[in-house]
Amino acid sequence: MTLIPFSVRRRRYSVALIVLLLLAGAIDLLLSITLQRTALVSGWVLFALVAVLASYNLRKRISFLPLGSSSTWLQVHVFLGLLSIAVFGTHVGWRVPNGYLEVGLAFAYLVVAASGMIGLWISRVFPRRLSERGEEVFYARIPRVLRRIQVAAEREVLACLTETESTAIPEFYSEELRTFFERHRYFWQHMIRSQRGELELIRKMELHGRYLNEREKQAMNSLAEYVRVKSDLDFHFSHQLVLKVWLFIHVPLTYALVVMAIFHVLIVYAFSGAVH
Amino acid sequence: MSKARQVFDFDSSEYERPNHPWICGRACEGTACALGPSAGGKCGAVCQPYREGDRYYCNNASLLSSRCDAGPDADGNCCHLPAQCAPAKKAGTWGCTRGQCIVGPLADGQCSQQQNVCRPRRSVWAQRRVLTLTTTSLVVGGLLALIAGPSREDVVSPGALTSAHAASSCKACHLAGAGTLSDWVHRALSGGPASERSDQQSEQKCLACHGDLGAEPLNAHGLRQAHLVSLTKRATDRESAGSQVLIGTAQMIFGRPHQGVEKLACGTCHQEHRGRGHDLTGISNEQCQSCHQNTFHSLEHGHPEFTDYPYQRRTRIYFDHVTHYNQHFDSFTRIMPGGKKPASCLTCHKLDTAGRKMLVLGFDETCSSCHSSQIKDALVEGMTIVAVPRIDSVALADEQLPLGVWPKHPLNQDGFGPQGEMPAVMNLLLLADQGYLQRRDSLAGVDLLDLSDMTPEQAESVASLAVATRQVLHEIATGDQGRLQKRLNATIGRVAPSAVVQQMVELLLEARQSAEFAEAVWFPELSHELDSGEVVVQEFYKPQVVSESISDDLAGWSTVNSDLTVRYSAIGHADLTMKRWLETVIDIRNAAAALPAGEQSDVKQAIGRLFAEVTSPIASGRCVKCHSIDLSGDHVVINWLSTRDDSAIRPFTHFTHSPHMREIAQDACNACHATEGEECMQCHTIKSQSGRYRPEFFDRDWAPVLGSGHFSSDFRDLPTSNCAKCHNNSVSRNDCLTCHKYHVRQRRVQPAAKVGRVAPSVSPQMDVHELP
Repeated sequence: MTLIPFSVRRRRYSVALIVLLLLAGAIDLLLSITLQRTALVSGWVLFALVAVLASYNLRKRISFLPLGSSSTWLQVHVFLGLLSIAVFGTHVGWRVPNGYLEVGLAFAYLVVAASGMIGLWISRVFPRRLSERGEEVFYARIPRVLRRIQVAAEREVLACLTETESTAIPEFYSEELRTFFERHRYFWQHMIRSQRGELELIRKMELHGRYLNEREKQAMNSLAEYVRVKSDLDFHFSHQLVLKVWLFIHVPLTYALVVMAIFHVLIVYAFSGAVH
Repeated sequence: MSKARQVFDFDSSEYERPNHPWICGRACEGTACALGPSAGGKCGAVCQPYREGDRYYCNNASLLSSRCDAGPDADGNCCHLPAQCAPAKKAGTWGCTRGQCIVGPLADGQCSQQQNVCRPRRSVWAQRRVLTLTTTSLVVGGLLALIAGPSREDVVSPGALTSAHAASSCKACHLAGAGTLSDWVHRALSGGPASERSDQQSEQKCLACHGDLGAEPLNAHGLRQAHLVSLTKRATDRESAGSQVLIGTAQMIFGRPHQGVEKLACGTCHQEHRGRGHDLTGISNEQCQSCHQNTFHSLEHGHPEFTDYPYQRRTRIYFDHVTHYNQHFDSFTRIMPGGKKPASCLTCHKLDTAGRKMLVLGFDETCSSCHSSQIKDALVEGMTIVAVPRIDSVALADEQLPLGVWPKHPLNQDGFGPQGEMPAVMNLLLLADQGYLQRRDSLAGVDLLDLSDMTPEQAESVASLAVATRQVLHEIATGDQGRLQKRLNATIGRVAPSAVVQQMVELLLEARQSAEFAEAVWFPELSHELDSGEVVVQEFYKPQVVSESISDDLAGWSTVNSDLTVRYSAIGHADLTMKRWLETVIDIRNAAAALPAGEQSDVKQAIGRLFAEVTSPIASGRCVKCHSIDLSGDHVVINWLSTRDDSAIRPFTHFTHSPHMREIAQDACNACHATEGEECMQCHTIKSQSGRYRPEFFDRDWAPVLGSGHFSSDFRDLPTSNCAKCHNNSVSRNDCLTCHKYHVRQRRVQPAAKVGRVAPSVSPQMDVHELP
């Protein structure tokens, strides 16, 4: 089977999205003209869209079933999500709802939609950033690698101490580097791709180097290399953390949204007439 | 350096399990064990000491490379199982109760080995799942709690109500308003009880307050189906200048709102819960037209021309503007010396207090200068109730049927009074006289003035007529209410309610004085004859000679000796007696018309004659010359007023005069050059051709029901372009709701059930297009 390039698929989905948006607008207009209950139609469409969008999460759980590739699902998820924003606007009449449940429902939807769009941006930008800097490390392995770097750095310090019997490197490590190697640092700087913290440490190490002998300079160089590696790892950790954390908003609120939507449908029909 | 970061050897590469719900508690430290936690979140590296010989050995998988120093105790318990270690204090020092731990408790008495116990953590996706379940549970629980709480109406309300409904609770409008959650589920899935579904109970809640929308408030426009069909046909017969493609497309795809249903829910147009200031009655032009067969863009473009607006119906007061303006007002001074020519429209018309309707001023301010003398015209015969016929009494006496005292008739003509025919009231009264009634047919063709060739049977008939005439006169003259009541019960009492009969009796008794005088002059021996039962037979025929009229001006009740009649003549405009006679006769006529055809035909015929006589344009007072009579179904109603109280009706089209008049008066040219009242001419232009009164003005059967009659107005048709000069996209409002109302409340002329004052009522029957 020929693999259709992503750009081609995106173009196709974009065209489909525009067509669907125009179609939805036209249908809403025509329904409105004939005094149909446009909110009912747009509401069911929106509910169906939310249900389909929510099923993407379930799709990942049942990957053994031949239901299409995950990337296809993701693209459909993205474009249906964008479509749902237009349908949502139509449903609420492009105004701020003012009932308690309605406000809650709208707020949940908007947060889900906003987090989804942010997630879309993150998932498009962050992987490129990750591939541009350092070695890509699987998120679950980061703590282990972090530990390994720390151990390696401390071994270098101990080796230097043993060989030179000088405490210059150990003391520098203890004062400036120990906390750096113990945990992840400079989260927000990595988010904006700033290396200020790392360079500050390197600068201090270079300043300290003029007082060191050859062996200590060698150790300091090794530590500088470890700092760079650790900084790359922190960069990866920060970005991968965000890549995972946004789903902590998007997914739980999606299910809350579905629950509230079901309740909303129940109320609407109870107060306006039968489903049939 | 990469060697320091990740190991990818086949036997030393770390094996991560991100898809597992639990990960090793030491993973964050980078020292996760190879086994990992169990599926239930227990540490997989729990030591289960095994026994070899008489000794237990440690088998903690996580410590395989470096076995536990302490090892299991003598009973086979792992020294790292903190649950079993409960340090005890002896002599101020904490000590291990298991006795084999070389480290011993911490200073605070905690087991030192407990710190090393691995506490598995949830993986990222498992944490997300927990958060999802928690959030969802909180939402469900929160919603249930809010519904169970006192503010549940605020919770389920989709938004603020309009200010008019703001004080209403949910149950005021919704059947589910008072229900529980289970009731809501039931209603949502099944629509609630079947009885409520079939009866549009939700709409009934609306109609409980909005009950003034007519008999069929849920029908389109509140009209009956048949009426709607006729209106639709009328509309489609017109040619529409344009059509809306958008509306046509919407109708084609989604159908019309009322398609397939007879009743329309209130919510079809009125959307609530949109906030305090929401316009509940707002609707777009396209939505208005979505039900209609013909569609168009605006008043300016495509609106059907007014075919008869605003002159759909005949004016209630007969007034021919064409003849008056083109003929009478130019020459009236010749025949109406006291007449006053109106200076402008506003001489006779004025706005009502609301500035909406243009009223006609009263008779005294408009017509009286020319027409008041015509009302009291002595040449017009009054309302005759008794007339004494001229009879050949000599011939009757020859047949041994003496008339007794019978007045000499001043007029040398046959029959009764000036018209020669028996008055309609008298005819109705005599119908109850059995003696006369049995012989009435034989009177056909008999010349009462010359009875020389009559047969004996005819002679008896003439005699019975004479006796019956005297009897009726005597009953009125003596105010014999009982006999008159009995007489009328036998006639109009067969078709009309007793109250109408009573009303008629009262009207007859008003003539008592005149009848009494007539009896004294014309039949001086009548009381004696009737009391004794004998006819006073005089030796010679000595008729009472009477001369001129007793009354000088014949106004009011009078005894007229010139034609031997007792009659009533109007004393001026708005004569209450004439008004009562007209209304009573119309009540009787309406009651008779309600009977099936062929039933009580003799009475109906007599009533028909009475109605025709009373409503003649040349009857006394000439009331019906100006006050038109409308026919509605079988019933007629006389229009005493030029306009009607339309506070209870809502026509399709509404118009308010005052802003339009003000706007026209302030128009650039009119502000300087127009005279008062000329602004009316901007829209209302009297036809130029001079002509006679048009026949539809005098059509007795004219009915203001659509399609049942044609009326040609005095005024030229009003073109839509006249309105569109201002009501267009650039100057003023031109949406449908500017001029039209959806909910039409109409008036129906009610049947005269009791004493038939015709009371206007709200009913979707007629006058749909009638305008203020």
